[in-house]
Amino acid sequence: MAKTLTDEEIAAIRRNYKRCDEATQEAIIRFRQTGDATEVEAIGRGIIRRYLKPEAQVALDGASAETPLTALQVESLTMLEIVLDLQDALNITIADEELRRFATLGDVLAYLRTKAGG
Amino acid sequence: MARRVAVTGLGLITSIGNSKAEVLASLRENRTGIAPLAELAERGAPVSLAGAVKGFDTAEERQEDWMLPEGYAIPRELLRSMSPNAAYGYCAMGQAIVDAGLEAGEVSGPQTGLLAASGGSMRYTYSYLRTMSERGIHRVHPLGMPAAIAGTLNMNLVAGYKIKGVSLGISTACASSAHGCGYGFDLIRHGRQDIVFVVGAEDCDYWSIVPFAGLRAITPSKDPGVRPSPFDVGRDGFCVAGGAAVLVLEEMGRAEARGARVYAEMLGWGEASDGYSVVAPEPDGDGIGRAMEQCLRSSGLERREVSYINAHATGTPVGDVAELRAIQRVFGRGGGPAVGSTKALTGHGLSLAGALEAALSVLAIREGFIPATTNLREPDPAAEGTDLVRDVRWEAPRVVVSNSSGFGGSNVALAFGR
Repeated sequence: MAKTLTDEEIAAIRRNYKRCDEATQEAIIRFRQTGDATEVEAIGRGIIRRYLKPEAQVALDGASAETPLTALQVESLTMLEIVLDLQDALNITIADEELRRFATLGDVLAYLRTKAGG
Repeated sequence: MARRVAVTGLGLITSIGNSKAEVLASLRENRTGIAPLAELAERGAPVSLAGAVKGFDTAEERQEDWMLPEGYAIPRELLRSMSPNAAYGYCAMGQAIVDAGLEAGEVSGPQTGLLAASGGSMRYTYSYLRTMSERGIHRVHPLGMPAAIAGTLNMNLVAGYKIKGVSLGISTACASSAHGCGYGFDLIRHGRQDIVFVVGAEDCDYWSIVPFAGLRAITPSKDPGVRPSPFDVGRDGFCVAGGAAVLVLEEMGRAEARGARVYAEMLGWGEASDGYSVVAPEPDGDGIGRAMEQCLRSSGLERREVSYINAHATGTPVGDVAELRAIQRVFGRGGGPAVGSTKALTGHGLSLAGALEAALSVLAIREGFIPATTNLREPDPAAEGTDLVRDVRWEAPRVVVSNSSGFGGSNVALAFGR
């Protein structure tokens, strides 16, 4: 699934995700161009990280697949904000019923890999 | 013995300044806050002028990307549910709390309430509904709706400042925040609250301004040195203004006990409706006249005690003359109070106007001058016998009545004095 992005599209991605670190922006650009699902973990972590308070960012950096989402202190409205950005970045739709099944970081990333992998 | 009400704090984010000091300088120097608004020209609007706030950049859709003046910060968790009017209100509240010298426990406690007035945000309403219809609700920010609806101001400020007492949003259009002052006064008078924040706030952009051009209510002029011109024979409409104004109303005994600075006492108020038209005032100002009479009665004032009326007068052909007739009926022709409209300098703040003009009224009392009605070149003949304030008067008004009239014929008159 190769797709060339225009300069405007790349600029829009950088603008929309400017509060994510540069590595995350690059991963989103590459994913949009190649559809490579191996980019998804970096994108997922990067978008989640952008919405976390500093203490929770530290927890995320050290988190494994088994880390419960509650350890990241993401309240429900922030979770919806994360979902909005993930949907846009990965061009997927995440249904509310599916959201309810996420207990750990691994649940989220595995789900995203499956959805984004097509 | 009846509880008395003091004004002990002000917060101002306005077209004529983002602080009490800036606002006072603008009033003293008769400096207009109205200018051509770039967005109106860019979008080909049929009107040009607005009383926009300076120093804030809220053009970006994502609130985190807004630029606030130095010294102001709004936490992300609150910003995400705001449209510009709520951000202005939040900043003005911060100013008012410092100005009043209130402690955290006095701001957040069961005896402190907040009455707010804003029309919500046309811009954010349009944006989230358009995204909802084009891309589905799950592509819309979850807080898009609370950011846009008419209650957004009270919702955000009550949450943001941890208000535990009364919370209320008022929708009487251009009388809204004057109603806030009136009902705030009553809450304190009746012992239900000791402190009430009265907040008025509005966006100021293409989306909030141009609908009024649809009503043909806005001046088509491009020159703030000519329009708006309340009471002038050539007046042809108003200019919309945005920003926020906050008054801290406080029970007088409490204010005196803590050594608060009292700008003025709120003496009383009146309200009455025209029952006439959705958008036009009753031609003889029936409602605003009875509101003023009620205000005098409730304040225990004789007509001759009123030094200055801060009129509602927005600069429309029909509205200004209706109010003049009411003033002449209530106060007589000749020998009555000085009458002026600060909307000539500030623009018409819509839901914000009542609170802003109450603030300007108490500043006039405290600082000892009566602001001018700028752009008044030739008074309407209907003003004969009324003392219109054309230039700044360096005399302290002792008692000021501030009028506000809104869509539907809702009228409020507030009285302040020292």
